[in-house]
Amino acid sequence: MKTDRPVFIYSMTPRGRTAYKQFFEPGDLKKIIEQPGQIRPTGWDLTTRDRARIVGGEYLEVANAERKRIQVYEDGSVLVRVSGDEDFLSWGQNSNNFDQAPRLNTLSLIEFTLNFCKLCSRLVALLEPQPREINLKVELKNAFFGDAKLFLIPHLVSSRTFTMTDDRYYAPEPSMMRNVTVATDELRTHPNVVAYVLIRRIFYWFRVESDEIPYTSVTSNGVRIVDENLIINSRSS
Amino acid sequence: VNPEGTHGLGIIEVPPQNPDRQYFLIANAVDGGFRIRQFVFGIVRRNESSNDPFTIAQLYEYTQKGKSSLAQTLTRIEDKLDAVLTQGRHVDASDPEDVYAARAARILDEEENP
Repeated sequence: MKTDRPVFIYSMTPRGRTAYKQFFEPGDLKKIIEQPGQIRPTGWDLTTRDRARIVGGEYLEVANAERKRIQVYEDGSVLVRVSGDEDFLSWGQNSNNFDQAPRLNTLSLIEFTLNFCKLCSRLVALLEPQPREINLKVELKNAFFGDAKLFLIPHLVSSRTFTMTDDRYYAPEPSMMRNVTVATDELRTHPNVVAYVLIRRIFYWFRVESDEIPYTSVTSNGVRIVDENLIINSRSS
Repeated sequence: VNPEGTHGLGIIEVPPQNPDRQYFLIANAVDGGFRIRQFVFGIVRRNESSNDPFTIAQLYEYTQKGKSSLAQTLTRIEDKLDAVLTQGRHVDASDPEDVYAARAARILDEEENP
């Protein structure tokens, strides 16, 4: 259903010609999108509890009401629609509060982005031939709705700043699209690095200048990653 | 030839023909020492001890496409060019950004009805 409320689209598009083999037949591809994985139970992941179905003879789809929808195409493209309102990525507010002060849930945004990259890392392994590079995109629609503007608080959701909705960074425009091209090997082996790159682009759009994004850490190699241990050990909001 | 001169064995040597000049139309048929007058003609292909006539479909194909190696080569080149051109048109029609935009509209239920 078309919505006027905030909604995100995450997508993966291989660069160059490639394909999933035996695309519509039962196999690993359907298993993966039916069980996309999670880093903790009942977290913000891509699980839909749906069975993959063929739509229009063109793509595979799984969905969970209006919250999550995943569409996979034979050419390797994956699109994920996820609700940006209080139903999912802005979890933790009732509808009235959200309509007046729409606060993105920092943890859900970061955890979902990590889970998306982990799903992509599993899917690209099925592509033949292996593309050298992958385009990843995050798009936000309807960041302005009614009289409200979506905002981000770049702090842990367990922090007082988040709870009190201080330090707000408002969406500067009604919509946003950010594109990142990564090496396929990087996505396959280090989805948490790629997730950080995507998240940083989103935070920059909200004009958050610091690289100190919550739920991230720096590895011994000096690379910043989305740290799933910090997510697993976070307080559920 | 036998001593009576009534029976003998003859050999007709047919030297290899230039493949580009084949096939040859049958202009004369001899049976029992007499030339058979016909109002149709055809082409046969030697196969072991028999002569296999071309079917109508085969004859039609060769009249349309020719049989020489040059004609067949040109036909193959044309087929390959057609494939390349078709593929090229397909690529042109599939700009990645256009494809993404259409798919994003679809997943947002914002597709325009035709």
